[in-house]
Amino acid sequence: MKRFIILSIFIASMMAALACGPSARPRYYVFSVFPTTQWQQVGYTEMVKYWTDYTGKADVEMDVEYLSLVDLDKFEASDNALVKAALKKGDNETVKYLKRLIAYLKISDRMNPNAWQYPSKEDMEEMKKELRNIRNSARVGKIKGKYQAQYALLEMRCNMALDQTELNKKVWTSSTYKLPESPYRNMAKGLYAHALVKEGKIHDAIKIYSSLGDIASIKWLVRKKRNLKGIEEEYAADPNSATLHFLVQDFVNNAQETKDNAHNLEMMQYVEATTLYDDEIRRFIAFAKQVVAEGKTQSPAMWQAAAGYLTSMLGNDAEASSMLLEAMNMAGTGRMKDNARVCRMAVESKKAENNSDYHNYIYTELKWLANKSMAAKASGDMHYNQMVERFVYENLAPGYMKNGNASLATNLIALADKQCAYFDHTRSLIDNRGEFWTQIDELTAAEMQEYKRYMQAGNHGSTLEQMLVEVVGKSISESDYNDLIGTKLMREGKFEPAIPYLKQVPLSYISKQAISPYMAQRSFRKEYWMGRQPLKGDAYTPVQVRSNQKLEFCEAVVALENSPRSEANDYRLATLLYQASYKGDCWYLTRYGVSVYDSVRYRDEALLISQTIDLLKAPAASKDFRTKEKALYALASIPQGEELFTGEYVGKDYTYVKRVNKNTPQYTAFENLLAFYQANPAKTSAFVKKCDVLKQFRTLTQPKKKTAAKRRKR
Amino acid sequence: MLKRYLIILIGLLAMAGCNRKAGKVPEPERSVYYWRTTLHFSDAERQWLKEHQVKKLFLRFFDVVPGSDEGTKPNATLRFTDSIPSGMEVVPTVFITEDCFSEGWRTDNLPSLLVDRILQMCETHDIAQPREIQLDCDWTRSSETGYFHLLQQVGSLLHAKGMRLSATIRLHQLRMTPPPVDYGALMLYNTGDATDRRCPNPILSMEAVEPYLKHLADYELPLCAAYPVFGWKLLFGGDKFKAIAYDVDLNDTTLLRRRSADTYVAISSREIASGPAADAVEAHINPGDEILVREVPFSLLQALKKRVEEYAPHIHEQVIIYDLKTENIKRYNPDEYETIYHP
Repeated sequence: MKRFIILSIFIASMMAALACGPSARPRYYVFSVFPTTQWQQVGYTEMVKYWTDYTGKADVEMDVEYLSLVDLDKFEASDNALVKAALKKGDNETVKYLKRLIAYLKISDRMNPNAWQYPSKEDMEEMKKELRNIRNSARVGKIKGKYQAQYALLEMRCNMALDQTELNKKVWTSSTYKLPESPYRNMAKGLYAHALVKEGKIHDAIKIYSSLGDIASIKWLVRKKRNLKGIEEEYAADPNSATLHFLVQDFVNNAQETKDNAHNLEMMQYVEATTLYDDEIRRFIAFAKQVVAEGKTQSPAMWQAAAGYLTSMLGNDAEASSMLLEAMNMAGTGRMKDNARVCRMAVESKKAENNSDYHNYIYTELKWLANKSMAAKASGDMHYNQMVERFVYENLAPGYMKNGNASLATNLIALADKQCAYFDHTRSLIDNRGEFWTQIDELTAAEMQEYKRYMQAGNHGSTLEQMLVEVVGKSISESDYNDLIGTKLMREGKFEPAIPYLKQVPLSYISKQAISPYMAQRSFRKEYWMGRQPLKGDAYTPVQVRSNQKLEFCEAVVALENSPRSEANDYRLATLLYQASYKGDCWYLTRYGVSVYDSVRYRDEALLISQTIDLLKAPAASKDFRTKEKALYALASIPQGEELFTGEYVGKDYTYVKRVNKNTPQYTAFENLLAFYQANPAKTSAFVKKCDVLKQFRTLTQPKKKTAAKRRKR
Repeated sequence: MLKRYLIILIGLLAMAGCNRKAGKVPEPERSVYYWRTTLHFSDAERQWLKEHQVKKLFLRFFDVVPGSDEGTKPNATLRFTDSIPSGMEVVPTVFITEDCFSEGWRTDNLPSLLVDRILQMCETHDIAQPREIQLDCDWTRSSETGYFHLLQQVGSLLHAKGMRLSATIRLHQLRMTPPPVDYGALMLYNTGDATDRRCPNPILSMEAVEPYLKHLADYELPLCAAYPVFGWKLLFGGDKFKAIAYDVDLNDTTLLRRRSADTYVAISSREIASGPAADAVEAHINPGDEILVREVPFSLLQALKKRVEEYAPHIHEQVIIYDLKTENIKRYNPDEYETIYHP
């Protein structure tokens, strides 16, 4: 089972890394009749908590992990927090237990199959003898005292190490099962289940793993039955088999995953997933309804919820919702009834309606989920938090964005952000740079202005909206609003309206932003195509800026726009706009971050580039040689549409052949620049003559012809 | 007359001088690799070994991987839960990852650690002192010096105990200096890239083997041949390799639809294990993903054997089959396994 645990912890950490991330948003499974703590070692959290309480040391986990390193001959001098605490308290019972546990852990280390020193037969015998001694002392220890469950577990572990797993059946059934509930008792129960597996009593073992929430073990044991046929067989053998809980959950989760991945309908139809697999879902729904009707199951809530949620997946939300409402009141475990309620919210949250009844429903359900997640917090069960994320990100936020309530959508995202386990509560919603930030960043200037008005208004209509405004609280400062609105207006090419907002942004505010190193070093007045502006030094530590370049930029653009129109002014304006675009060196004027993989990320963002191109057209036709030269060069330098050069490997020896793409507007731009150069080779400036890309373009479009002299030689 | 004999003698000597072919594999036997982490033979496997008179078991004992403190460490050590079939010679086999020979990793004490551990494992588990040990490493030019140094030292330690050392030889290694061992086992498999869906058969293809065959004739090391009988279920999402789908049931019509003889398309999603054990990392299979079944047709094995023999006439005196598993011993009919083994 240790292998399961390692795997589980790995998956848990992987999921943690994915959660709340701005890009790879996980799609959590909705249907859950087991606590999601299954990804952790059974009882591990509680065990660490026990020793934390015992020692009074917050970070005791390493001391628990490295207990085997304690030298038993120098036990009294050990630095291990567990040992030190027991000695300090004069707690002989704990001292005795720790010594036995350490002795066992040391043998476990010696038995490590991957150590260079492979044990001899004699070593094996010696270790077995020691294990038997520890087991005997554990048998005595488990009779009374505060470590009864721990000793029982130790005895069972010794049996495992001695390859006498079958003895664990007796240990459990004779006495251990009578002990009060504790993490050690649960771990012992897991070893008992392992003994049952060895004996071939898979169903009994699954029942135990199910009670322990050890889904990884169950999944392995029932891996051959993961479809309707397997479920039907299992039900026929025992309508109340614990295996069914896993199999039904697995079926529904797989269906959900299938639907979550079904964005490409054409592909789904092509592989017949829409017919074959939907038929399987329909057959399952019919079977689940039959199970509920037969009345043999003690868990109709689970079956009805499965049928209801699957009905929603097939597109019938109204029927699904009423089925799920029924499921909430059917017999089953508390978790099963809660599961039905969660599934119903999955269905209902798709509506994202703007009326008070609906708002009240969502408010009640979110509050319920918050209470459930608080209650489950101690056990590490993240299911209810994950459901808030799923319902907000998948349904409510996009729904309200679509239904014209961007402010409510934004605040729902703030709620999901803040309840996420990985949210840093020492920082504001903005500074956390989570989903809330992404949402705020993607709002248009008008939406942001409306959001500010909404947040600062006194009355927020429904209880839901009021609660969410409180969630965001004072996370957004006046400077945040001004900077965001000003930047968004710039992004959309509205420079004059941006000025009043940007004027209110203090330099100290910008100097704390990640864009400040760029703003401190770069100039928007330099022509992008005449030379790049690499950043010197540390790009990650904010620095003090001397002026607000955003404001200066807007003022410069407005001044040019108000000046008489000329080819020279058009060229200057084009230069400014391109630098401020996401492709320019001064991207920080309109964005808060950039990536080499970036393309247009915001609405109207591409306007700056298209305006640049339009503005360059007149200078490119200028009679002034230098103006025309620079404008033609600029137009050729701006990537437009498809790549200018393509290539492929051809022939047996896979020779790379480069080609020019005639379908891109950049082709025409280079054609014009080349024609200009070839018409004026002597007068053309060095930056054109020496342009590598132009040389390549010329080589590929105008291959050298054989000279007349060479032809004559033939 | 004397002159004629002299000419013949000179001719023979000249031929001997030109022919630098290596000798034969010592004490050849029908052999098989056992490459799992737990030693357990099913009844079918025991029966198969008996039926085909397999006498040598190249048993993977453990792997060697970089460890902490710049040293190396054993990994995935074999768990002994069963006895070796009677009359079977065990050749302890150890796979060493190439990165053990990267700069910064200490391997100076590795020879004695290796030999001592192997012999101790044999003794602990009642395996007769082996006559041979085999090392397996995908060495390249960058790791050749370190690996060959290890082989020399392990070889010396074994020779002093009256034992042999063999090593696996991958096809690309035929172009390089032969390793300093008593003989090599030429791995005639894994010839393509399993993660590249354009590769028609990554397990074995004649086209991939052909360019290396010319090196066989002059290879200065006795060789035996190792042939694949395994198959792969390769999961791809579009062109992207996702996993080897170990536990996927190809007959599960709720998950897969057969598109052609060797291609299945997924019609639903689920988590699947990407390894044979419970702790294998999980992968997700989604609608539209494809499982490509890759196996080696017997006709290809037959043709390849013939072709290899043209360059190395003695190579089939010992054939090792890779690898012993219940599904692998059912892939062909008994006569076909006999043909693979036949010298």
